[in-house]
Amino acid sequence: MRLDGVPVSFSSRVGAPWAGSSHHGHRHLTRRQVLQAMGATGAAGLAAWALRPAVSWAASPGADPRPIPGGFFVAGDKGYHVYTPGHSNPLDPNSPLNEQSTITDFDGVVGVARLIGTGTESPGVEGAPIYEYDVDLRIMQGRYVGMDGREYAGSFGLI
Amino acid sequence: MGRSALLGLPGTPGQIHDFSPLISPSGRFWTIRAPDSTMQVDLGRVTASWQMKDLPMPDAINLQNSLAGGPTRPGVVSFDVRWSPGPNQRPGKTRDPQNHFAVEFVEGCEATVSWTGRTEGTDFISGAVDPSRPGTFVMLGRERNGVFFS
Repeated sequence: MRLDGVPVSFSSRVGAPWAGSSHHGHRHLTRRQVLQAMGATGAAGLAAWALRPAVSWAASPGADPRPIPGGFFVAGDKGYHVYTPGHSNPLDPNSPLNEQSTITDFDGVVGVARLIGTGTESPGVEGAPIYEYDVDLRIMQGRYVGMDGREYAGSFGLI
Repeated sequence: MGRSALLGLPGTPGQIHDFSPLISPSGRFWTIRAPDSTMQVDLGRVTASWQMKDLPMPDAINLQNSLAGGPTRPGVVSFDVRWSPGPNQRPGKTRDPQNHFAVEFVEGCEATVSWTGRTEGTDFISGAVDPSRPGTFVMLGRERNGVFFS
């Protein structure tokens, strides 16, 4: 994700005054810093660890979910109900994880794949330009309370 | 931030694509409902996948446009993202009473993506991911938030 030059700040609750939570500081980050924060994941060689198998939820159509209340602000702009992939302290992989779900009143699986690579337009054409790309793909699958106050099961993805 | 962007070569100005769903009127950020059948998850094995094919997706060209809600041009994306165990994966746990969420997770697992983004006149196909790039982050876990937080 190329975010250089645009100052952003984080809040525990979009639209509310910053409360100085341990989750986010009163700071403005450049977009590059946000990028660097995203690269702060640790790779300590701990033993492989398996999560408990998730409950299996039946699929059913339902009302739309609510966004998470928190998120980030772009200076001079409105807030956005999403956190960057990774940890709250970009320099400390042992710091709390940012909330990775974008929907609230949710209980389920969350997966994040923030990946960077190269690709091309005009594949197979000699001399075709190579571009760098990044993706932040997230899955959320489980039960949630919809905007109508009722509980549903569903699958959602951030693209 | 959820996006699947195509950028210029390092050092060159200008992002050329930014495929993302628009922010919903309620503020839900670049998040779509997906058919359950497109996602497969096995937390015990630290595996998951999500496939979407020929999904209409606005191309805002750059992040600023995307955050602003436009302008956009019509696009179509297809992708297949897969999570799998990795030699450097490690468990983690975060409980945040202030923000009402708790998550148990494995981070540092591996992921691959195959991505195609198409707009009129262009057809981008992703190549290999470079897992050594700063900013790479892969996790799989279980989260409880809002009314399900305890």
